[in-house]
Amino acid sequence: MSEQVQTLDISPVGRVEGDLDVRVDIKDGVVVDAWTSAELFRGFELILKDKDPQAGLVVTPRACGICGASHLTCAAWALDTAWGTEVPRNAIIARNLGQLAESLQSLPRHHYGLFMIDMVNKNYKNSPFYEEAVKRWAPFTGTNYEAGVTISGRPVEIYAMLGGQWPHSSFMVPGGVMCSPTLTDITRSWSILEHFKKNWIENIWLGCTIERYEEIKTYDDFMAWLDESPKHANSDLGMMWRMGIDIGLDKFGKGLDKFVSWGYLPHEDKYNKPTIEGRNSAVIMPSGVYDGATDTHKVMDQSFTREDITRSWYDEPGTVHPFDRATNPISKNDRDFEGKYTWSTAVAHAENGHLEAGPLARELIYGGNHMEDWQHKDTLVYDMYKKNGWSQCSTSSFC
Amino acid sequence: MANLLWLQGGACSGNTMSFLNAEEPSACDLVTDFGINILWQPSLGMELGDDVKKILENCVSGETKLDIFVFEGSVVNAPNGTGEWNRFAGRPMKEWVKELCDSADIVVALGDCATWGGIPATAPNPSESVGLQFLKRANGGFLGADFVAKSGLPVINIPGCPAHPDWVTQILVAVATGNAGSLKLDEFQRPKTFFQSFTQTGCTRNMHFAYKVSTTEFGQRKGCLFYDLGCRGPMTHSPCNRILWNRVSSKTRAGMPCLGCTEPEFPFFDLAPGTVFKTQTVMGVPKDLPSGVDKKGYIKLTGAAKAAMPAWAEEDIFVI
Amino acid sequence: MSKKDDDDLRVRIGKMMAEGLKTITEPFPEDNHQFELVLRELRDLDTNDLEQKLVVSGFIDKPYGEEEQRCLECMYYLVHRKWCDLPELAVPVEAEWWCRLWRI
Repeated sequence: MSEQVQTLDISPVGRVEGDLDVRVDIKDGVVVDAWTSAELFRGFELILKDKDPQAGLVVTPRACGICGASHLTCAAWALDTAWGTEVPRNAIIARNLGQLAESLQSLPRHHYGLFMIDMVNKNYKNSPFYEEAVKRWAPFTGTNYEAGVTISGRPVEIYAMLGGQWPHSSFMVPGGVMCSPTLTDITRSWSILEHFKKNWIENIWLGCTIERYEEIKTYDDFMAWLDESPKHANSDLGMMWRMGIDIGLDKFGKGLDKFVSWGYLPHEDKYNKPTIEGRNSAVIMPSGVYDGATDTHKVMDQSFTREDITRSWYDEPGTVHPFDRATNPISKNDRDFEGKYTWSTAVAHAENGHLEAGPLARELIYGGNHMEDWQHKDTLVYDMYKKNGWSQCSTSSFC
Repeated sequence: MANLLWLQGGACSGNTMSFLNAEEPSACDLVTDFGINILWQPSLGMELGDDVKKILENCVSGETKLDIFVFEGSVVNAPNGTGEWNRFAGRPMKEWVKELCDSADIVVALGDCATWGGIPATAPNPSESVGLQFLKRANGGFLGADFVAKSGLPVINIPGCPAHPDWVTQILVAVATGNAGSLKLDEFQRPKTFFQSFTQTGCTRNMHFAYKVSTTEFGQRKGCLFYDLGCRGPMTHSPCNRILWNRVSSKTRAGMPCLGCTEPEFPFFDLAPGTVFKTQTVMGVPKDLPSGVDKKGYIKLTGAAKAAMPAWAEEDIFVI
Repeated sequence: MSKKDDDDLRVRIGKMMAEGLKTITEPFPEDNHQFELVLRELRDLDTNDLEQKLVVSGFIDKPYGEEEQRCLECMYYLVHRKWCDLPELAVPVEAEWWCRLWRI
């Protein structure tokens, strides 16, 4: 039975870090079109104009409260690259540690705080997993919600030892870092990681050791792991996956099927003299473009990066390299779904068109063969993505 | 039971993320042990779309009693005073903020953006941002200098970029348990319990400050960051070295100069060239002297400190 | 460098000034921007060019001005090592000397 297209405006959409509105067109119970509107403009690019070059180290991390370390890392490396500074080995390690500590924080914080609380929505009350989900993941009162949200603060204690606080430190500066960690900082950091591993990753999240989990290379391995022990199946990861299948998360969420990552974590011995050209062959986590339609991977050359401004509230030409952006906000930001309707801009490639970035994109790129031998390679998510019929919802949350 | 609503305007969510680092009490403890009922929070709330709108409308109409309204982020007025550059639940955020502030018993401005405008309000302030009751040092802000919430209290300012989770949780507990009246506020409406002492109070570099030994380059294992690297610890009011960050450290302990982020002027000197991580001097004397010290006294102090300097003060002190 | 090396170099620098080395004592850098310009000049010098270092920074072998400014009170002076700890200079000095990078 065919129905009319029904338009639904959702304002606000929460738990996304920023003010977001979404409009969707629904036909026969299926979303057939969607428009996302980012509804906040602060103009950091304009604030940084004509300021001290190092102002970027203070301002850009404050663009985002949950990923400031990534912004700080980029700001510091940008200055190093522009000024031709040499960065010592230990400073690169300290920067990478900072960024990784922040990423570890976001694992439980994302899963419990932002994502799995949707699984306790009353709409899923008929799922056999529902009762257990509420017990574990209900906001504030769920047993594992409380454990997960509380422990999410531990990894960034390592960041605080390097940079004094998390979020919003500026401890990375051209030529290195501001800190010089002592024995106590190193021992405590190590111990925090052990605590995090024992009390959350292995105990609650996986139900097995990290070493056992790392043996999983394919989707079949993962399903076999689920069946291997009730501990695995009933871990939060195991239950999230099984409940996800039960409520149909594997049936929707198809995206563009084209992905990008610029790579990150410069190698401590390969990027001491940073250059734009040398970056791709110096990062531990490789860059890449993955095209699902042709199932091909390639290295991401930054010169092909394009920012699509066509739908965005800026008075600027449609598609340019980010270096050529001017950030001219237009005053009258009415939502025109045929024209401009958001402050955010879209990521594109000069040859491949629009691309998706983010955790799923990164994991898919690690599944390729386009990287150098020493760079990170991991095929699990790539295999999972293909075997799940290109559906993204469950795989994406897995990442 | 106290109902709490938390919204974000021109924000980065950093105060929310900082809040989630809280322990003793944790964010969950606030709900389970201290009777705070979180009506909605941008990073934690279950509801979206019209359900959120309904929560807000009920607060405004009085159907739901709004005990505490926490606002994070600046109030965006651009373009041309309309606030359209920051819309939320179908209208400019500033319109919600006005109505909710008028409905709330207690209003808390959380973080620099909400207190004095913060980074978004840095020149040229593209978003025409202001704080709830201040813009930088100027009293007034979005709500006006005379604003008081239903409790009779003005906006409680908890500055910082971000605010420390303990500053937030302790104020929320005080308010939720009916002790808001015993909070003493300073001239910038900051709770004195946190903002009377200085960032320098408790800093591990105090001995080097006393004997005038400078950290002349980042990463050195000796010295104080005030003399060369622009540290604002002696002039900034915060308990960063009393109530440590993430339980373990502080910026000055780790080797990063204090940026003075709990003061209305942050970021200082509007980040003009030559002002970042650099002590500003006039004729060889720091432009901003430690709070309450005059130039003559400072010169005398320096002579005496140098004359008395013990040999160890010149050596690395933070060694492996 | 050993203490002996430091002492020898300090004597040598003292001698250079006693023998009438003309250095740029003025203008005194009014603010840290001016100060930075002098530092930049120092950074551009050959690191072994001691004489130019002393000239650009305006070394003299006695206190300066009405206030009798001298290394002893300067922020960069390490009392026990008798050493200037400003990275761009990094030379042994006497407490009674002065240069225009003096600051407290």
